[in-house]
Amino acid sequence: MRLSNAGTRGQQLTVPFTFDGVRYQGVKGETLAAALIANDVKLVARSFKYHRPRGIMSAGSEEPNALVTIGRGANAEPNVRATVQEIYEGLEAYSQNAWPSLKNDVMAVNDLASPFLGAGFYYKTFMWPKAFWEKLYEPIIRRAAGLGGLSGQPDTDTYEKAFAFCDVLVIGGGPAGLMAAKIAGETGVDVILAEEDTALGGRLLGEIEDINGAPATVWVAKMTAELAAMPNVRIMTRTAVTGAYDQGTFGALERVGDMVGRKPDLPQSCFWRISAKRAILCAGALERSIAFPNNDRPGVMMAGAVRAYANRWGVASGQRIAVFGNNNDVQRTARDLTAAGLDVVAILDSREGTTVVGTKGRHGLQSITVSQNGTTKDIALDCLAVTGGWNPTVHLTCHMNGRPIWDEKIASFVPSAGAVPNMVTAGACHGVFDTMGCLADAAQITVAVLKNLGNKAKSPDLPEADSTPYEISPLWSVGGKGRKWIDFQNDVHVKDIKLAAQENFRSVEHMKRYTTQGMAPDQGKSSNVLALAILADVTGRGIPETGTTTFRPPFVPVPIAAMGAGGAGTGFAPQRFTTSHDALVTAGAPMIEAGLWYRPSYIPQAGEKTWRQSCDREVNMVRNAVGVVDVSTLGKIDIQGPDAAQLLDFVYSNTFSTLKLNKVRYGIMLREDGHVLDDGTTARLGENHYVITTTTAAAGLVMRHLEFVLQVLRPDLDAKVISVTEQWAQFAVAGPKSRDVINAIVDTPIDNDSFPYMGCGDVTIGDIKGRLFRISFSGEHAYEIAVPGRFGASLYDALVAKATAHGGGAYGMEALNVLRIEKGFITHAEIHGRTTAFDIGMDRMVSQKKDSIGQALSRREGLLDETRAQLVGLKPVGAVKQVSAGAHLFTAGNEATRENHDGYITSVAFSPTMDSMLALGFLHNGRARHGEVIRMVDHLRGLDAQLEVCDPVFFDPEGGRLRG
Amino acid sequence: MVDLILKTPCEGLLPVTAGTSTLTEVNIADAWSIAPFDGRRDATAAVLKKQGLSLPDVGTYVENGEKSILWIGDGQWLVFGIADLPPLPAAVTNQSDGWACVRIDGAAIDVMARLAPVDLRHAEGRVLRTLVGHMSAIVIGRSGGVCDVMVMRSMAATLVHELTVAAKGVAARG
Repeated sequence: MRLSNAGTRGQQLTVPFTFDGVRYQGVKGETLAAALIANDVKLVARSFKYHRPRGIMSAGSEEPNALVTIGRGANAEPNVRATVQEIYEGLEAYSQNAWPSLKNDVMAVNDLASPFLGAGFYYKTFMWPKAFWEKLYEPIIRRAAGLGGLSGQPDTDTYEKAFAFCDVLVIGGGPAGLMAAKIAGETGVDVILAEEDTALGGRLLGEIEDINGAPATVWVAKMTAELAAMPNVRIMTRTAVTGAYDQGTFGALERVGDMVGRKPDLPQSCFWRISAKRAILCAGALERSIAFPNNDRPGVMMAGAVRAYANRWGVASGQRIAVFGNNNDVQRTARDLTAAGLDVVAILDSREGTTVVGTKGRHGLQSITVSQNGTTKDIALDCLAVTGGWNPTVHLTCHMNGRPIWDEKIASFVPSAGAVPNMVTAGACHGVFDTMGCLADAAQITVAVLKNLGNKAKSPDLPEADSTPYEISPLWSVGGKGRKWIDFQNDVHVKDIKLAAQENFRSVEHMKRYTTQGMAPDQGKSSNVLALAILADVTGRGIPETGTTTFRPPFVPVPIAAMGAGGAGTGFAPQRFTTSHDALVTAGAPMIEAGLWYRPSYIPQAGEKTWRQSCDREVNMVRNAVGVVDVSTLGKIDIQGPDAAQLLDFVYSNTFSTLKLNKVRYGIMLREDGHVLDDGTTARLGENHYVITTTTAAAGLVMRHLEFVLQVLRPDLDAKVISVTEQWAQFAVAGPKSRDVINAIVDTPIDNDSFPYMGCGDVTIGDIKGRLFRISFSGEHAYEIAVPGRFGASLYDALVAKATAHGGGAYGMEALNVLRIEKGFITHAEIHGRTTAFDIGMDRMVSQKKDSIGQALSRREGLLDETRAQLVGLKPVGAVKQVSAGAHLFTAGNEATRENHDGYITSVAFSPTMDSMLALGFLHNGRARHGEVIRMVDHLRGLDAQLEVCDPVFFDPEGGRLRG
Repeated sequence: MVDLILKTPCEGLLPVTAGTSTLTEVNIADAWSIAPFDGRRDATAAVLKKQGLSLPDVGTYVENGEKSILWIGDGQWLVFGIADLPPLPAAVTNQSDGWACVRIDGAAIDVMARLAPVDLRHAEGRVLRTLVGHMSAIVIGRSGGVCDVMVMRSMAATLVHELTVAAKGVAARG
């Protein structure tokens, strides 16, 4: 019911929304909970375990009961607390955990069976027979468990993550937070004021109080306006700080589209990482309940929430309301509700010996039983406002293992000082519960924080505010028949706690796990203190000795989608495109990812139906005419300096100081442990100037390696390294007609004398300076030509056109792989991190005349053992012509067992040149076994073939074609 | 002989406007990385002084008309706007084509807050080496809250995409 004389009175009902398919109207800006209460919807959820009917209990993010699903299908958001969800036009909310309907839920049968389903029930019941656990019990329990559900479809909504920086982060925008932000802001430091509500003001929005003789909301509006006018203060509403992390970093969830409805490009929520020099936690306090029989019926609410709904939102939580509690908020609540024109039927103050010992009304509260001076009486009503006291919101102070301290005066835990470095607490979360006290506390603490930061701040004249004392007399539970609920979200009641203690789970951490108290998504925000107080009582210990369990981030649920924003699909990693990318895509080449680069698999021509047809054609084209492929993806590192040659000699196992100007040499790098790190060519461009190439995949690795060598191992060397991978677009032109193509491109024709095999030098192409290297990865007479990236696309087009004119064209990675396997050239398939130069047949390249990285350890006996698996070529000689990478090798006649493993295959290809499958692999003592027929078994693909061991160089072993 | 046609890293991708933010390509005509040889930093600086430039401190840049020098790493600088660099006692490498550079006008700080873990509150005159999304980048704080972001040339499309998504997200909040 909406009130006519309180809260958002008089506002138009302009926002249509639905709950469980029923259409309602609400006021713009109000929460779903407020709108449901206004529409007299009391039953909003079923509880987790017993499927008990539940209603709205609180008015904040601590809500344990009113969890709903917003939306349907892929973008449905489960477990949204109705108390923090704003309504917007078209909002669809659905109840959870009920079937077939919220009112008639079949699983409520659990409630009838509750005497058997207490804490520890699973552990005791589903022990035998042992095999049943995994196959029967657990699947059934899992199906029954859980709140809400995911659609199983990818979430197509937009999310954001972002970073923010400030000098002072104020967490919470209640009276203390407003005061702190104002004082800090006035000194000019950068302030972020984060508030999880939609508006600043905190409890002041839900209370009837005066500040400086006017309603507190007037003061809130004035402070808000003043803060908004400060350029150095950033107000972040709808933003819950979720965690305190190292180095002054805080996580925070800002709800954006979630709260106002979907709009194009608008993120549903944004996960912030806020870096702050200092933080002031002004998170306020959370009201706790009292454990009395059947205290979970829809209509039993927290007193502070009932006040907030009436005072802030102008909605009545009931027509006939009683107030029950153990502190001065009992009177405050009765006063406010009476002022709002509501019928307060009873004021039940436990400090005067009055308690509630029973309730009735399954789908909504109908009556309560009150005990006073030994007599009981029933009172008919539809709402009971309960206050068991307030717990300071200490959660963030516990995120780095801080333990809160028991404060007898307020019968609650307060934060321990210094629990989070550079974070202090102020106001209600500091244990100060009256508004005047909060303002004074925040002022004093903020001035100290600013002083600590080196700023002079002066404490302002504090406004006159409410200072009614709190006056609590603890009351945790009340006797009587019926379950007395503590943790509403996980259905834990007093008897469960007692049972835990009885079964010797007496430590608070053991009790938590045995009963699941505090383990629901709300982390027991409104139940923890109550639960441990009862545990303390049962075990005969004091509350301080009993202690608390650990609060962990996040303070409120955070969608994984927000934390991982931007990372779905191709957002997982950057895409690196070569300058030839557009031309290749236009040509219909399937692009494959390699080291973040996109490279063409093959370039199909009309009539080709399979990749093999294209690949075979491209291989033949290179062997017989000429092919062009983009090799810009290979790492290119520029090395200059007086000691450049020394650096190369140190990082490569072979010698580079003897390399002549305008010459290229192949080299291998070892890791310190003697295994191969990478291979590539090095060109000498000047007296002290070299450019090395790395494999595509290891470009970053080699760059890092060189930086490490220069900074740590050999800082004495005067050599400078920098990547030029991106500076140069580089293309391989391979095949017998490669020189014809090059000469059709360059301004001054080349010949075998000016560019002999392994020669390099400058060329010009239409007056553009480029570089030409006569190197080959195909075994053919080949070149690599490089131009500055801006001309890459243009040069690629020209090269392909010229190659086509000579009976050739573009080729892709598949053909490139076949060509190199035919020649026995290695890639990282062979130098996979566990092979040595000895293994790949290049041990003679490990110079013994100089020191180099890995040289010493590569001499270890075990790394030079003839029985090691050595690189060999393999070709099928039996009936089965198929060969597969990853297959295992066995001596002929041996069974294909683990014990008989004799080697493995690393690379395979069908060679159109040799008209056979070819493979490279590693075979024990392989170099001595050329000519032997062995067995290959691929257990995964079900292949069993006979292979002949041979030299890894299948084609043109003399290398005559290279020299052209 | 052929005539090669120039194509910039962000050709066909920019400009983009989203709300108050505009993304445009900054054309890099000439860029050289310089790394003075050991003990030759002062000598390098002396040559550059004749160009009216100096070697800026860590995390900063200097400008003189069209010419500028950015600090980009340990003992490394990037010189812009000089076609023919005079001989220097340093490793000098042409980097004119290695980078894609995008300028963000408008809500640059808000856009970058979605992509980079760096504090750009007082970024004018500063150079930051950081990650933009998953990309290693150089972020340059210009006057008036404008930012230039440089990533490897091959990542231009990803940079433009990520900046565009971020700018649209900022704009959608109104």
